[in-house]
Amino acid sequence: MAGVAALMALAATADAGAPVTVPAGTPIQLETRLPLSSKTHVKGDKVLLRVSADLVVGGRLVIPAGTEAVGDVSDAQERGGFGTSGRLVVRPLYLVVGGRHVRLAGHTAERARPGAGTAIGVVVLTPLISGRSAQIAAGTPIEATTLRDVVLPAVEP
Amino acid sequence: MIRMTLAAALLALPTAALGQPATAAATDQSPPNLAQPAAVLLPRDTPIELMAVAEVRTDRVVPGARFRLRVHKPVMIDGRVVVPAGTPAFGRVIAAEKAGNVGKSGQMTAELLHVALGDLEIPIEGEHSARGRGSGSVAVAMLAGGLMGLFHRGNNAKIKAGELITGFVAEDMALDLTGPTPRRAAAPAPERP
Repeated sequence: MAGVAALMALAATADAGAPVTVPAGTPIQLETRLPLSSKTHVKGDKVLLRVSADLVVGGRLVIPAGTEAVGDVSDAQERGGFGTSGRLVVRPLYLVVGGRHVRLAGHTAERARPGAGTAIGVVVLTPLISGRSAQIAAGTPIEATTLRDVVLPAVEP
Repeated sequence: MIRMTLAAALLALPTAALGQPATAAATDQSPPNLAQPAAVLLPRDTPIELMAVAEVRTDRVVPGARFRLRVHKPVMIDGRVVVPAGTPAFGRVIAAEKAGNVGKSGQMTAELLHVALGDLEIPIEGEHSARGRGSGSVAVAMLAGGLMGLFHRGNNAKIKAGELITGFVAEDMALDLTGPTPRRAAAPAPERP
């Protein structure tokens, strides 16, 4: 009986935020939370990101700004000896909303299977002045898109 | 909230359907066993952090070659370890181009296949690409320290031993962790809301 009551209670709360479908390819604005540098970051490092703008679908808030997201460094090159710049490539991986993982791709994502070495869904960050390490300040915007259709409950404002 | 809903759905699975002797007083017609959920839902898209066990280099592999990884961080669902750290996992090289003679760098694309949890294969997805450094353009600075220093020795693309790769569970899986080895729960995974 307790179980039934619990289920009904859960169903009631679920109704309060009836699900909204977020289609694949929906743009999501992210920003970096910590400074990154091609000096200190290597390929495979996790990168903490944050949703920087509310995602509203059909007039309903689905992913609020501030939602935690995770990416990784998919390529990191320390600056070279002859004035070549450092380079950092950040790939958005997923965000976590309501305990659910929503997969992300960079805004240049391609659906087709890539050829050898093709970078998919990445954001390349290079310094403006050549010959420097790639330094990425906290709060640098990164654009991502959802990788596939996902059904999420709307968040009560 | 979703997680709670899923947990509740799992609680509601009849224990008899899981092929396990009921632990509590659950018999025919009894309410679902609420004390200890026997099945755990490992939802699709759950991230799994993996680490390459041995180096994979474009000059030593051909497309189709499999390589080993291990789970780097345990996967927790509702406070339970579902996939422990150290669990073996496998990937496959999709495309591999050796470094060329004229400073062309090697390139490699690999995909993740599955995590081998006991006899159970948990399908995982994830793409990984690597490319070597073109020697013609860059006098490559050695990265300081440890394994990473080996990275710049050649121009072949490689996945270094110890490199972290994130994979994602490819399909919803209801796991029965009560037996000596994990297996797929007999009941189908609950519908996603």
